Amino acid sequence: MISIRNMTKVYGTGETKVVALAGLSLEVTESEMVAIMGPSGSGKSTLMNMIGCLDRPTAGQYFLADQEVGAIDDNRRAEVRNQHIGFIFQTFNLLPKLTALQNVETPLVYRGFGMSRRHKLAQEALERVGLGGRGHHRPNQLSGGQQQRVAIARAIASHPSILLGDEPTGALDSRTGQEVLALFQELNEEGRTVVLVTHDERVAAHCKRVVRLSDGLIVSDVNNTERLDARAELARMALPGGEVAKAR
Amino acid sequence: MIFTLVESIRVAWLGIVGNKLRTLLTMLGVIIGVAAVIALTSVGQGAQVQATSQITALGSNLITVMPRGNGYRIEEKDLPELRAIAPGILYAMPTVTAGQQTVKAGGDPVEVDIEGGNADFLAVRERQMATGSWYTEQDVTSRRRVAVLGTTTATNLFGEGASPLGQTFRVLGQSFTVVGVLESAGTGFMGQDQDDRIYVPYTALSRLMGLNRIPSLILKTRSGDDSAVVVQQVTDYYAAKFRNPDGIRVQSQDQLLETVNSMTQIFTLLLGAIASISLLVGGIGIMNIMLVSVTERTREIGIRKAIGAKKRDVLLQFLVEALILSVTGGIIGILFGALGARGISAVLGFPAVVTSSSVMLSFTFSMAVGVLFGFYPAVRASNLDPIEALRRD
Repeated sequence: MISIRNMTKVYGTGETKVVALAGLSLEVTESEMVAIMGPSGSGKSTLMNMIGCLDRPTAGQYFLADQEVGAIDDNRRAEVRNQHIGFIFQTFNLLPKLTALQNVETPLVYRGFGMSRRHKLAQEALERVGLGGRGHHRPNQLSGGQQQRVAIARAIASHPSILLGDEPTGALDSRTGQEVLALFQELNEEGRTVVLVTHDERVAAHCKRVVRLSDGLIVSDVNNTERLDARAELARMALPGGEVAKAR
Repeated sequence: MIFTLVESIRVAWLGIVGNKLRTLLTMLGVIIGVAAVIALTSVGQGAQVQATSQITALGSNLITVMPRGNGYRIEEKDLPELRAIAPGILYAMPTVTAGQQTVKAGGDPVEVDIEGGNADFLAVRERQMATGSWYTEQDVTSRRRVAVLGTTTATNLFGEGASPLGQTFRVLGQSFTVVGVLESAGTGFMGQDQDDRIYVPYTALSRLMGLNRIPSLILKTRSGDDSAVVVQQVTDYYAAKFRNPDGIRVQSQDQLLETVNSMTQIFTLLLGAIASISLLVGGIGIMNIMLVSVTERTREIGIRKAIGAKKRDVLLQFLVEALILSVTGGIIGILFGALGARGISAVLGFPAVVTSSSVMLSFTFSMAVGVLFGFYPAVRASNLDPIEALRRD
């Protein structure tokens, strides 16, 4: 699904030169759930921008769903983001003036889908994250966990190749974060490729594979033999079932 | 993969209604600009309509002959010669005017314009008598002090309902006898009363004023084509007489209309140009607000780009927003301009004509302002780097 080969990214020139990625290679196959970890300055954010097709590498290749997307122009890049990447941000990044349904529809609008097709796909995605009845709510009428689930619905609505999360639980309390992780695990079990960029070990513990970066290179790449099951943890918490289970 | 125009409008509309006060203030510049263009050009157009109707109200197919300087004179004896060389002349009427003379009959004295003409007046001016009859050729040649009154003057001098026929009044130290009253010509533009006038034989008026020449001569022909021929013949006649083609001005009504029209057109353009400046300022206001809007919505732009908006999608969104602002402002401005034109015409008694061309022009202009001043902010928005934009609060 993702194949990054010898990717470098250098910011600036001369004395102010910063090497963010130093010839990094990474393969992620379909249906994987990978955590990308590392301290700040390790190149983790740069790698996320690269995977998300937001930035262009200085050198190296990037194949996404068998397409070379490392060196394409801005317009094509926007198309790739629209069709293949489902972004989930730490601060949700919903458009405040739009309803939940309209937010979920937005990528489909840029996709060029007609009104009825958009509604149908967006409604399906909202139902998938357990917010089928909240489509007409605006983001400020929803809780943080609900907002993040709307953002996840927006990311999955057009069935992208990968879900790319940037600290997706960073702005949530532990319980809601757990629910969001449970949702990611479910989506992964349904066959979606999930990449989470995080510095949170607990998030990483829920992934099948953990990649650690330092100084723009991968320093460790291990498969979690015993990954945590977010749903099971939720069941153990004080209120059995949790919100996700209830809503579904 | 086209982010359709409809979607741009929808998105832009959400942005606009989300901040109503700012939207209104932004549009205000364009509203005032367009309203000013509409109202001011309507005054210019009104002036044109007024001038045209005043000229044509004097009668049709008329030619005015006037000396340009002291050395050139129109004399009594020219008339038969002119008729001989220009057979197209239907009527020839010497005209003398004496503005605002004190006239006294039985009651209080009144100030009235006095016009001297000849027996052809009714035919030349295309007017009708209400009572009595116009003075005769005999009256003119004998310089008889007889007068025809406008209806307003008749009432002012002799009272409502009383017959002025056979009555006398005094002006310039002489006594005149009323022989007729003209039918009303109605109120002219700017509330000017066209019926407040006294008409006397020009010979009698010339003598009272001590004139020994004809100040101006009015010729009437059958048609506009005849007028053109006669203008040339009369011009040639006086050019030969004074060895100077410019000594006497011979101007047909059509020529006069042309001159007046070109003058009022310049007037209209000038007013429109002045008003356009405020429209331009309104456009700068739009640009200003759009730039603020782009800065404020940097994060939104970042989100949209991250989820697949292309440059042109973002460009279109902000351009459409600027266009909606300017076009809505333009439409409101047209309405206010039309109201303003009505107001001007009501207060000043001046006709204000809102033409479809001025509406179209200012509408197009406001649209152009939207595109022109919305383009730079839209380009700025579309060129934002999504990573940078997402980092912004």
